[in-house]
Amino acid sequence: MMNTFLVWLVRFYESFAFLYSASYIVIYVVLSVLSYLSILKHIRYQKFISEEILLRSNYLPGVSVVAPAFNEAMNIVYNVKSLLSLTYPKYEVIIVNDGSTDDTLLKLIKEFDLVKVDFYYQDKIPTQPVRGHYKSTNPIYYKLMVVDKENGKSKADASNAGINSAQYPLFLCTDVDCILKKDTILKLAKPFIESQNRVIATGAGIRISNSCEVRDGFLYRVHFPKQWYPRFQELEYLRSFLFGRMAWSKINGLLLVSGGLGMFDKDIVIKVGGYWHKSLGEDMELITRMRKYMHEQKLKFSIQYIPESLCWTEVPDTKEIFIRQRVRWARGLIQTLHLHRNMFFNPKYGMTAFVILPFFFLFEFLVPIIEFFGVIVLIFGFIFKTINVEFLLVISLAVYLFYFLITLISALIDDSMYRSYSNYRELIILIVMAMIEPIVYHPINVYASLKGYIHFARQKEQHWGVMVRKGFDSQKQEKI
Amino acid sequence: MENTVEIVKFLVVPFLFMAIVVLIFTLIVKRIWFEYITPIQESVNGIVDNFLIEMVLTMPSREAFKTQLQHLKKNIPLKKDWCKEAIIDQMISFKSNIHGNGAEQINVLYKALKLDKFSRKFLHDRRACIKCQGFYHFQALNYKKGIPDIQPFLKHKEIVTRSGATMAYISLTENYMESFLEFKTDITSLTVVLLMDIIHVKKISIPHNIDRWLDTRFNSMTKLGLRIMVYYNYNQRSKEIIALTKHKLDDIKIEAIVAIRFLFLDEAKEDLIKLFSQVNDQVQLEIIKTLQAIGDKSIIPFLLNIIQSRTNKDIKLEAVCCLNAIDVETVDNIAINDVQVQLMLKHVREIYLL
Repeated sequence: MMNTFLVWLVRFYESFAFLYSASYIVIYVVLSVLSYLSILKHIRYQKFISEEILLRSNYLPGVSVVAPAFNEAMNIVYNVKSLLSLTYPKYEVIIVNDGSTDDTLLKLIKEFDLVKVDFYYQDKIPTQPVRGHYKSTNPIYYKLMVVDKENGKSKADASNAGINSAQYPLFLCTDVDCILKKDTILKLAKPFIESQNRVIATGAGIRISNSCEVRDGFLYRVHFPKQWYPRFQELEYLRSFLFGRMAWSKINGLLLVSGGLGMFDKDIVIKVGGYWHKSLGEDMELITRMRKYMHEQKLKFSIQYIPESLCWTEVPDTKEIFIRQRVRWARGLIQTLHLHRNMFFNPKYGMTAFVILPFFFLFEFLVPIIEFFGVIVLIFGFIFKTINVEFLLVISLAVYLFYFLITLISALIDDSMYRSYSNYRELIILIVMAMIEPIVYHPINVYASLKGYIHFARQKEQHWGVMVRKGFDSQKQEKI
Repeated sequence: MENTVEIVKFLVVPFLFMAIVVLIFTLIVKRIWFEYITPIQESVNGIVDNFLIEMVLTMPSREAFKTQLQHLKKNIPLKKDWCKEAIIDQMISFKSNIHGNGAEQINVLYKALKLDKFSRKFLHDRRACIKCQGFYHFQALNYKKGIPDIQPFLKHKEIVTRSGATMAYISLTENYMESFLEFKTDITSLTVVLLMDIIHVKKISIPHNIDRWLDTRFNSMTKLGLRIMVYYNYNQRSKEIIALTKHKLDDIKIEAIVAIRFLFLDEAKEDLIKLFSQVNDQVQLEIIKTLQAIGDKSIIPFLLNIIQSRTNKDIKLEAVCCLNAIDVETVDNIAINDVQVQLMLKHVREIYLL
């Protein structure tokens, strides 16, 4: 009886896994076509709109660059200089010192001749108390403003204080240690000017800076990362930004604009209450809330993605820190889906309710769980000899090859467009990494995701943690 | 299930495997090709650069010109599309830096190398972005012979094509702005920005029919009309501009209010004050900013009312700023008993925040 049930269970799981994998593959094929069309269109339109013309125009919207900083004394001066050197006719840089316990603020005051000013601060989005605002007495740094506040134990709280202090209608949210390309603001602001619908957010590709050559806060040369974890993450970022997000952008289905680089309509962000400081995936949660608001107000909107790498950031390079980060991300995903569960299949929320959220539930949230059950079924199958070995091998191979193929397509698009890496030796390393990624890296990801779900289910106390990580020149401490 | 396994085994897996092999091969070959072609492209760029400098600066005789041209054709792979595009890009960049006869000489070369045909080919592509690339070539090179080719696209049903053609046409004909109005079409916001640049760079004179620009039902044209009026400081149509503050669209309202500010239409004070209570916060902010530019002591009661009764702090702050610009004494007196106004006043008087 037990054996019959197990046979039935294994057979059922086999059919389910087959259908699930097939639908996953079909969806990814559709996404890849959409992504390709979207990228092609972007590249062609770039050719005839001279950015020089836009840069000298008086009619561009102003942009506030908001960058929270916590214990960044080591590199803060270089980072701020890098942000101040961006090219855009009307922008300000707002550095939010989130209660740093080191001398971040002192270094800023000294280097940029800052003085405390009588800024009339309005907490349109509630935050931890703001101690003061600083401006430079040196006209060269007139674009810089520093907001000093008490620590809110989250990047969200610091970002919100920056948004409250911003004077322009658009704001670009980034991390202070991110290295942005010079024309990042213009590239991200362009959709806000040219789109016929109201654009509420834009994002662009983020790449890994771990092995890049950085001089005085400026990116000098890009290299494929040298350490294992950053290498795998590079592949993941490549696939995710160039493939998934471009496709979702094409059908206006983006649910995530990265916290590391995103431009937002300030008015809408304030109306929805800004970043939620308790969220562990505050970037995704904010976009979900913005979409919800726009649907409720019956306003046409779009969220757009630019298939260009505009931002380089340092990623975890040890297993421990990597797992901690992924646990937080997984928890952020389930937290957001749970928080907005009333949106699922609610006609009021249109595509968000019927396509985007179900996709995230089925193909982002469920994947680690299904894979985990797959392993259990496999073990039982082998013990009770009910497994169809041929079926297992064939389907596993097909899924593996498809996964590998998707990564290669992303690499091909990237290399054709941007030639990100210095030579073909680095490309060959990338191919080898893509080959072993599903076997070596993916299981760790699944483990971290499951751990995140368990933490969420147990309502384990959430904290961001502090890690030691290598800066471009030396070691520094930073939140992840 | 058996059939499925067979299909996956003999069809899907081999297909995926082949696709992977092809992709890896493409990836590596493309890269090797790139590393091979880059020095060639750089050398072509160098040759073209030298050629352009020589042609533009020395202005050779007809015979010398022909010889040089033949020499260039021999030294570069002119039949390749990438080469044609590279030359056009160089010509555009060159053209933007020189004026006079030298600039004309570039167009002679453009035609002599039959690159105009290459650009013209783009216009017949079904994709709007490719068409626009062709328009851009003619526009950036100021190639007036391309005007007849652009003309048919001015009434194109697709807005991106139409906008691209319009920009190129205005840039090339210069006095086309008048007839532009007759086409009765909307253009994109980005085109409005780019058109203002063309007007500025080409020093195009104000359209003779500018008075009619505010009457069109096409909002982007009205916006452009208002911006042109501001650019030329044209204040002959103040009544119509003021009337536009009652337009049903907030975008147009704001554009008109901004125009009033920059044209110093102080007769608009009363209308703006009347309008204030009927519009949203964003328009209200623009009204106060404009009143700060055109207002006088007569608007003090209006500002006092806002400062004392409004709960929206952005609007209140703007009103304090406006009152501070008009009557320092009054605002100082209010601040004595109102802590919030005191803080706002400190903000607006903070020199490093200006």
